[in-house]
Amino acid sequence: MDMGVTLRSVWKTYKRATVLQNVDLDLPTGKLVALLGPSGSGKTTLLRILAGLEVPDRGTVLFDGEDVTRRPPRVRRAGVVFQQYALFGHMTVFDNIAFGLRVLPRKVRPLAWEIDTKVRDLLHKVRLNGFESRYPSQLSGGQQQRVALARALAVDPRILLLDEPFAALDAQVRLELRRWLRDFQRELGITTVFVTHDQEEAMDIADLIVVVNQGKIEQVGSPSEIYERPANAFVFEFIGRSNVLPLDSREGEWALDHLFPAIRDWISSADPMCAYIRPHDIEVHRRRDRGAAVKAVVERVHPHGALVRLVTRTAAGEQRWEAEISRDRYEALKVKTGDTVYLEFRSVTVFSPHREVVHSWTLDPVREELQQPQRG
Amino acid sequence: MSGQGRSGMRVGRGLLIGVTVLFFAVFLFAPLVVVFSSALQKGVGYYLAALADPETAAAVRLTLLTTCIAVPVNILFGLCAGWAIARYDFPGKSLLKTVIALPFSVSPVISGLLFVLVYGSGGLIGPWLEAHHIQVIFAVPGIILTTLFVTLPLAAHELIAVLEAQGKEEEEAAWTLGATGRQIFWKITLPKIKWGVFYGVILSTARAMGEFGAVSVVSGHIRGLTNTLPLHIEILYNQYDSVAAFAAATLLALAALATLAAKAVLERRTGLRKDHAAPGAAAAGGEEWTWA
Repeated sequence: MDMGVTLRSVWKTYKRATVLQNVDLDLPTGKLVALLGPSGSGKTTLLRILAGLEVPDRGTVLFDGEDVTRRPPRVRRAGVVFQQYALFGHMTVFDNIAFGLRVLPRKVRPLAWEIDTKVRDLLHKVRLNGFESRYPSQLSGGQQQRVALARALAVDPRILLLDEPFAALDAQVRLELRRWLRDFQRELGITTVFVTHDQEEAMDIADLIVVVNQGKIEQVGSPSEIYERPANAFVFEFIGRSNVLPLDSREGEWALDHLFPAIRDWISSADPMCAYIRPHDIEVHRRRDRGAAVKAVVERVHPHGALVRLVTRTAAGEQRWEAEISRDRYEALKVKTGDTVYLEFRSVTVFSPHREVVHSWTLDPVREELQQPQRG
Repeated sequence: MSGQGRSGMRVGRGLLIGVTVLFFAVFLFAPLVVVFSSALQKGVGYYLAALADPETAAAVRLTLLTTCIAVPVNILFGLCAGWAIARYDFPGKSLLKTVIALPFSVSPVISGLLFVLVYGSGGLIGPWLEAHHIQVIFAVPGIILTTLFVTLPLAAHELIAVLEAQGKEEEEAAWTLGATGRQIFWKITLPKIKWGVFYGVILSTARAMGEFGAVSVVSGHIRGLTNTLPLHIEILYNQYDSVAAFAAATLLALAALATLAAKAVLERRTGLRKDHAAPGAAAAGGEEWTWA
């Protein structure tokens, strides 16, 4: 039997806008999955389809091999934590958590003392002992979220769905709560899907990241796979900071001649390509040597804790390069605004911006070897 | 200089308060006093006798009957309309929202005439009704229908507003937790909008009891049968029986005062509820992550 949650060729249209196009997705049991994408990418619709709050126009949704596409949320047993938590404002914390048990048909409804035990157990799990008689308006955002989580877990869901779980929280609480959620999910072992537009959040806690854009899935993979081998230009740009060099520009032509000639064979004029370089893959030197070939002037210096970000502009003045170096390196270089530096590109990825053609090449110019093309 | 400015401001303040109080006294308070003093000018005995008059009693009964039908129907319709408009998207939704307010903007007399034109003997479905011996115009059904028409937007407007303001997330949450439609309505939606419902009841009760124009057109003024309290007061007044007219008017005035009192209590309660929530939330905010 097929285990986990599966979407097969799911389409969804609102009015005339296509929100999801032919989405196929397999979510293995027990994993923490991030649906990552910009706003309007369709990730929340995807979550609502999993919850049963939306019915896809076409395609099927399977829970452990069982077709639940047209099952209403009431019988689907998907626990949902809404973005604004959607706690019942007129009920106490206890009544909120007990709700899913109390609405069960009489035949299967647990006895009052069983409900009581279960709610207290959940309150303990989300570390809210003693809060049972408070009202949601008397709780902080983080506490409300944990009540929402306990409420969703009370009905023993087959899958847990969280819509932008950390978006409404303060930066500090957000960081702490997401680590806690990560450990909590591991402990429970329940398949959990959360929607986020924050790549750092997804990278930090997810087992599996699903990158969604314009109603399509761009890439599915572990955080390191997504970061190290992005399937296309969109994923590369979305997942971290990037420098983009159009290869049909004057500086691009120069770079093809001098820095990565091996790529030239892959380029056709009909298909303009761009080179993508991460700021931390740019090394900064004071003097020109074999690798450090690009001459640039430092425009701004931004210290960021252990890292220092240098914004530079090439001597020709057309291309801006952002480099990220360690503080030690920065102090050794003693660079300041207006200084001339030489940039070394340690890793370059070339994509076709026509995203229907998702070929990519990763090149390490220092080792002068061309890696195998990947298909996204 | 500053002293002058301040005394100028003090004069302005006194003037504004004076005008407000004077206006209130002349236009609101004086008529109320006149109603009660005129009703009691021939003594309490006469006042009570005027109220005990069978025709007055019949008018009170009819007014109560009309109100008891119009208000629940309004609330029911308001809930349906509010739910449909706040929760679903359908063609003509914005048109419906505009049309619901129509009885607000049409003169009550015109509303009454509309009903005569539809249900009257020369009207649209009047002949069919007559053939089946159902009398609507110049009878109790007409009065109830017209009252319904003019009070319709009061509750609906209020309920549409509260339901739209609530959003649907809590209902969706209840749905994912396994609640049926009926459980969602009784346990989630209704508790959230109960003050809106109560407010709608108060507003439409006041209007249903006091409606004159529209009801006057369809009633036929048959004493003891189709006279509501406002119509009955007019008849008494036109007969120069002003004490009896004012006695009956005190009933409406008392009903209006009771309504106002209920409204004030209600607003105070809902206001208190809001004030109550805020300090609690602020206090709890400080406790974040102190549970470890």
